[in-house]
Amino acid sequence: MKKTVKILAIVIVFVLIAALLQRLLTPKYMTDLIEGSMVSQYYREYGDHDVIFLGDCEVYSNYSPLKMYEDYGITAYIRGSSQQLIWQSYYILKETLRYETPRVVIFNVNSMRYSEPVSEAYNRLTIDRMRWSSEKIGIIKASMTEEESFLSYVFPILRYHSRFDKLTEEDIEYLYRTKDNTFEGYLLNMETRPVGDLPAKRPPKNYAFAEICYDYLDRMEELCRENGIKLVLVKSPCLYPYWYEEYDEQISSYAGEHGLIYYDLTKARDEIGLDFSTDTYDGGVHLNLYGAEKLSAYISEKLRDDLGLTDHRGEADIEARYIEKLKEYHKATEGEK
Amino acid sequence: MIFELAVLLAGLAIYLTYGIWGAVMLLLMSVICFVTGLFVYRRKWLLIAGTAVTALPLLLLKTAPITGLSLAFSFGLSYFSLQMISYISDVYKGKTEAEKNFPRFLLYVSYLPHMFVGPIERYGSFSLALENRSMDTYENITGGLMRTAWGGFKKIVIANRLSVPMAILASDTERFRGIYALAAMFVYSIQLYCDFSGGMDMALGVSKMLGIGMSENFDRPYFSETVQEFWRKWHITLGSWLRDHIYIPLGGNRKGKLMRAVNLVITFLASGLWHGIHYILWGIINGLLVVTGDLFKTKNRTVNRVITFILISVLWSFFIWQGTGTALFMMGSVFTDIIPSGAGDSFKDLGLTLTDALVLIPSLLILFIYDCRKEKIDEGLKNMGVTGRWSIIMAIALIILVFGTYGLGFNATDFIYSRF
Repeated sequence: MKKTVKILAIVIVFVLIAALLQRLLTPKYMTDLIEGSMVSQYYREYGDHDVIFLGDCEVYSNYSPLKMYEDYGITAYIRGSSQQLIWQSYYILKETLRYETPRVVIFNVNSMRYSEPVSEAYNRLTIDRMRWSSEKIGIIKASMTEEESFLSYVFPILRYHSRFDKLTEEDIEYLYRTKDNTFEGYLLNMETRPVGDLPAKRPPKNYAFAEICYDYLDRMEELCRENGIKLVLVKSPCLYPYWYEEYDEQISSYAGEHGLIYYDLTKARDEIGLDFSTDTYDGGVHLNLYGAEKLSAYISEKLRDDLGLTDHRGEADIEARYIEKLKEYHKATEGEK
Repeated sequence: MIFELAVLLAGLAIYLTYGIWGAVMLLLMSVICFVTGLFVYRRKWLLIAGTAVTALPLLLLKTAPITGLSLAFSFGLSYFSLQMISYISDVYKGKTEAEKNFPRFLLYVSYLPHMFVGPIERYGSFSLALENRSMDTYENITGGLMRTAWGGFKKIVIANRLSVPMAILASDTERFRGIYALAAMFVYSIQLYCDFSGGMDMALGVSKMLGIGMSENFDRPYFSETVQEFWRKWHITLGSWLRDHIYIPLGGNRKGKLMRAVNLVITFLASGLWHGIHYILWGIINGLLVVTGDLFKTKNRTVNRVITFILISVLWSFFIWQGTGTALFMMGSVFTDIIPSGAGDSFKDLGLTLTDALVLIPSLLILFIYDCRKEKIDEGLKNMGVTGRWSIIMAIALIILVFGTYGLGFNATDFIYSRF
């Protein structure tokens, strides 16, 4: 008995040390690769949004939810992540419904082009900091590349153990705390790099979206329908990667068949007022703050006019929620304006 | 019997994850061998027929590179085939009784701990180990975990870390010739030892946890003073098998010095073939070195050890650069092109960092000290109290967890000797 107690005590000490090491070695995504912290920031900010955005960098770089609230009274949140694939969007939507039921879900259809997991690194940015739930299990299983193992998501030290020589002050500073890196999921960027020569067009041999993408789109559509949510499909207005007419036709056709709204914003650049000599931070791939605010205004008007979203400004509880956020947003953006 | 069945079923379930056809082949061969065993006693024709049938898949596997045959071979075939052959032979000679219980026989053949890197057990010793299974749960678990952790340290911390520069060194024979080739030979010596003996420690450790003792396969081989001694201490169970089933039936040392030499070379040729068709020359050279071993011996034991280590390391070239011609070319480059032109400062491109050095140097030092003082350390560990032993197990586990090379690009069950 005494022997067993001693062994148990040593094993417990081992587990505690291993847990501490795991926390230390797992990336914090606070000052470097902050895209990895976006998914988890939501857990501190969820609650009663009109709109939830889902998708890849074309959502978290291109829409400013705080601008949408400030100018149109629409409450929105972006649950985007780097290279978010459609099955990841599905599971993130499913997880979101644990916390709230938005009136509208806006899904950026760019990820319809990808039929298989792209890279382990992107998977990690989306999944690592998700809370454990059946959705997290689902997203891991759906996303893993061949070389990955489920166990390394359960015990991240199995993946990050070799970071011991790459530890920085960030790993100590954020060992037990975290900070918000986005404004309601919007990753602020105020730099400008005008569009120059875009890569030559290399049309795919087959434009047809994969069956698996349609399957997940169906699941998202069904989930939204069951929960009384309007699903809106959008394609960001960015210049690159190219959104071919053949892609557009497939989404238009899907939207028509399922009674969904689809905004192909690549055709509305002038209407939005985008100027790619000033409104992009990387030569037309993503929008900067100025472009994002223009696009936010445009989409807000669409949501108001086409879906009847109302203005929440003046509602005390919502205003209270946004006062501090807007102050922070202005502090971060005004110096440059 | 319940214990044996449980171990058998668990092992087979894991074995099935390596492919259904391999499992079918294992089962089929087991049935053939089991039935042969029932009737083979003093029936020479059945001994020959049974051995031929059992050896055929192994022979096909080893000669596949030249025959071009691509069959679904069973995982662990190189190990269990030899066990089957030794079983048939031992029953024929009356050294062991035929097993009449098929599940028990199947457990001998498919016992999972020996499927990855051996050891190659004789039925008699396996059966004895099963019957005399240790019931000291504390000692089984503690000793077994300690052995497994030590094996993990050798494999995951040392061998896997060395595999990164080794892969680079082996991949570019144009650039990494001469001094780089020489470095590769020595690095590979250490990598292979840590990989193989580490895997063996893990197999023996897991088996010990089940209370089943298995044969040792290593006895600090790099401390050998001659190549002959090295082969008595490296892959011991394969050496014993070759001695009993090839060297002695050929006449051993009973027919004069010349025939002894011929028999030794043939035995090592067979050893080479067991590793694969490309290793035949490696086997023959080893055989010749065993025959002429004393020529290299001096009065200084350390010098003898260094010479033996160099000879063995150079011969691992056949393992590093698969393909006899390439291996010979790389060995030759050490003499003809010691500083290859165009290699520049290629040591920087080997993927080794300061961190690797900081992990490898103390790890190799620990390994060296352990191998030097093995008996004393083992004795000390055995007499240590619960706190001491378990603290060491957990400390090794933490070292593996943090300083091990595993994860993306590494398969935990991928041992160099699993490929043979």
